[in-house]
Amino acid sequence: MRSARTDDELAARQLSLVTALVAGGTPPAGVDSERVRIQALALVRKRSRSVARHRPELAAGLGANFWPAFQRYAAADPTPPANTSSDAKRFARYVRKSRRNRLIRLLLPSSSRRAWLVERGLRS
Amino acid sequence: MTARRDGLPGGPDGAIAPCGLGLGIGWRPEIDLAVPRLPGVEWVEVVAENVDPRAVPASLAALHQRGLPVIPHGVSLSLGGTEPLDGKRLGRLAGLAERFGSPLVSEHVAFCRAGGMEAGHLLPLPRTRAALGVLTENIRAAQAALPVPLAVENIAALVSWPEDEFTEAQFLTELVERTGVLLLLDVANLYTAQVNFGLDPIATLDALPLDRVGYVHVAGGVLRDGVWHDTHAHPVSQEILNILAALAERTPLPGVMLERDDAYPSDAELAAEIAAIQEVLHEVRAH
Amino acid sequence: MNQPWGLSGPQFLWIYGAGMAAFVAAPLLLVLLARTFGTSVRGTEPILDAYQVGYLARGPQRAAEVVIGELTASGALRVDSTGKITQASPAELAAWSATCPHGIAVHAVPDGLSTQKVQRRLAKDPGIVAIGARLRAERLLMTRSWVIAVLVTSATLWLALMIAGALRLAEGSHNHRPTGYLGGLYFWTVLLGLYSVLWLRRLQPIRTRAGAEYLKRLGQREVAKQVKEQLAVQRKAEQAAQRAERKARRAARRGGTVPAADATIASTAFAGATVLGPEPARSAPAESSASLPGLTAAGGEAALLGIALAGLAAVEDPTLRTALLAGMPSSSGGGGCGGGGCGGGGCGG
Repeated sequence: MRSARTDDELAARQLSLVTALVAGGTPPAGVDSERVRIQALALVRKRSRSVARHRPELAAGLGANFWPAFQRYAAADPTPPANTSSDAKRFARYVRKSRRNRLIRLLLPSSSRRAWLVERGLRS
Repeated sequence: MTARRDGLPGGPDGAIAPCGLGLGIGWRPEIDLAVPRLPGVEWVEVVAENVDPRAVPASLAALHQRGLPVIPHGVSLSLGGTEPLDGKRLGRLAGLAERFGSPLVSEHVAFCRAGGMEAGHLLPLPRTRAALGVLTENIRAAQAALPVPLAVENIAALVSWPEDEFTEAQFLTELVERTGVLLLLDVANLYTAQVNFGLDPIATLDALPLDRVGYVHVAGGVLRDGVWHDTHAHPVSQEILNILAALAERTPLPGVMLERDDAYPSDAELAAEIAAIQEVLHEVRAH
Repeated sequence: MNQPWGLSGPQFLWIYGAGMAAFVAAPLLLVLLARTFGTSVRGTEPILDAYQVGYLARGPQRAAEVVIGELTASGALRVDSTGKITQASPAELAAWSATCPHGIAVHAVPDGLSTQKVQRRLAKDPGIVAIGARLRAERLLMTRSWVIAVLVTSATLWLALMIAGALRLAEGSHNHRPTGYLGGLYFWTVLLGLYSVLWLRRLQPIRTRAGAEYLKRLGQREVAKQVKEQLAVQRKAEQAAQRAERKARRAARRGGTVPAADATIASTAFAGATVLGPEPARSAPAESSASLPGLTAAGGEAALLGIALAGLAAVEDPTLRTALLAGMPSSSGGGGCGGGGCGGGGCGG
């Protein structure tokens, strides 16, 4: 009953769902893309809860801004790292970087600001 | 001891019946001091990935030493996936079963990785013959590697596959027939299917081999974007308790447990949730 | 030969040594004066509640401990066996904050922090800071002006030593005079300065005579001793259980059987927990022998006073106590006492 071909088909279908959820891929054919979007969001929320439990002070420091910030972080890199502690570390780094960026944006006029950011690889 | 309808302890000393587990709860580190104090809790389930059999947390060991059964529950074996089973994860389940002398272990009818990429969550299988074949083979391999019986859980899904050939009940029935695996029936997940896909939980119950139920999960969730999310972080709703009642009416239940993973409420509220489950079961018993 | 500043080497050393002694003695003297003259008039002290007694005994952190002990015992806060604290019942916490006379905002503390981190955050809460202000106003604690006087005096003396010593050393090496002994004293002065700064950071609010007597009336010494003994007994029991368990393991291994499963230490540590029984009585009356003036104490208040006087180690429920202490590094007894002088001049020249 099991054949290599049907196995491959199944594997391909499963892979397409996983990539749609955590690697920004297109949803598998015939699957409701709105539901895929909702599922992906639920996964990000689950990640954010784990990170908040792992680093309570980081989450509390951001307050109401934690969830939007985490969403932005996950949108920039949807594939979750291997474990929560790496996820938390990366998120912390992301937050630091965006704070630095905001400070720069405040201090520099727009033309030199852009050049400054491009020079440091913070924007293309 | 005379056979009882629901398999729950009812002796005057509240002793655990030899055939059943009774009322249980998911053991979590955050509530490890609350669990021993909750009235009515007779066993616990632990997430296998979070407990090392060689280094069991003292609070869990104390519970076990007092005679509470501990059941390992895996979440990352990916029984429905096409990739071969991970020997280490199986070994963890087996190791925990030995360490605690568990009567059974449990996992899910789901996959959580593909092409080497982790989804980080349990995803539904397409209910096709091909998928059934893969699942059957993986379950047989797992059963061979485990020292105790295996039960598999129906998961909560947000997405469904267009190529489904079976209903969930047919799929699980066929699976049980081929492998003899036990069922971990999650009534909250039946409710999820009702809200998200319009599937009638009672019809599902009527079509399942209920004599193969190993134990039952009860959990809370929330409606968001018109979709039911099985969060395990909200109180159990009445609709889910109603499905539990319907299940209890149809078959004796060896074990029923409350699943809570986040946003833990006060001890009083937890106790109330457990009491609500107990109430449902006693009501059914009374009729 | 012309002596720099008109002082010979040994003379300067003696003066410098005296200066160092003054640096050590002056703050102690000033504190003594503050305790005596900055104290409240006898008989006018108010009756303090447990949070205030805690602050009096060991500063804002002790007051925070009282809050933590009370709320974990009532179940509004939950603690796990590793000492992490979460809010179990926001409604109960809000109600508590509303009725608490000091308005301490416990709900503002994030979930999942260790006992010690929660303690540190609460210690900064405006409500607890206000307790300190009140105690100083009541002259049970040394007022800010006295503290500033002590600090300014010490700082001035230290600076004088530093400058004079530096000038003399410069003078000495420029004129190729022996500077060994002075160099040594100077080095010790620098160290003393550093030590004083470190010691200052750990310093608890200083009690006036009235404050000290208030605590004495509450029997603080006895309570602290009792708690320490109780803790020592528990620790000994845990160690004994650990030894027994190791022995059993070795025996089982020798016998070739699978080693015994669970640590009996676990049952000792969780002695307070029952599996199927109802929740244990929360505020059992304290056993401490303290006679509490003016308190129509319910058992609960007496238990809180125990925590105020002796810290979280005084929590009655052994499971809760073990859990809370797990979230704090072992709190050793009090910070260092007054900077013990080292110095001593030698004869130079």
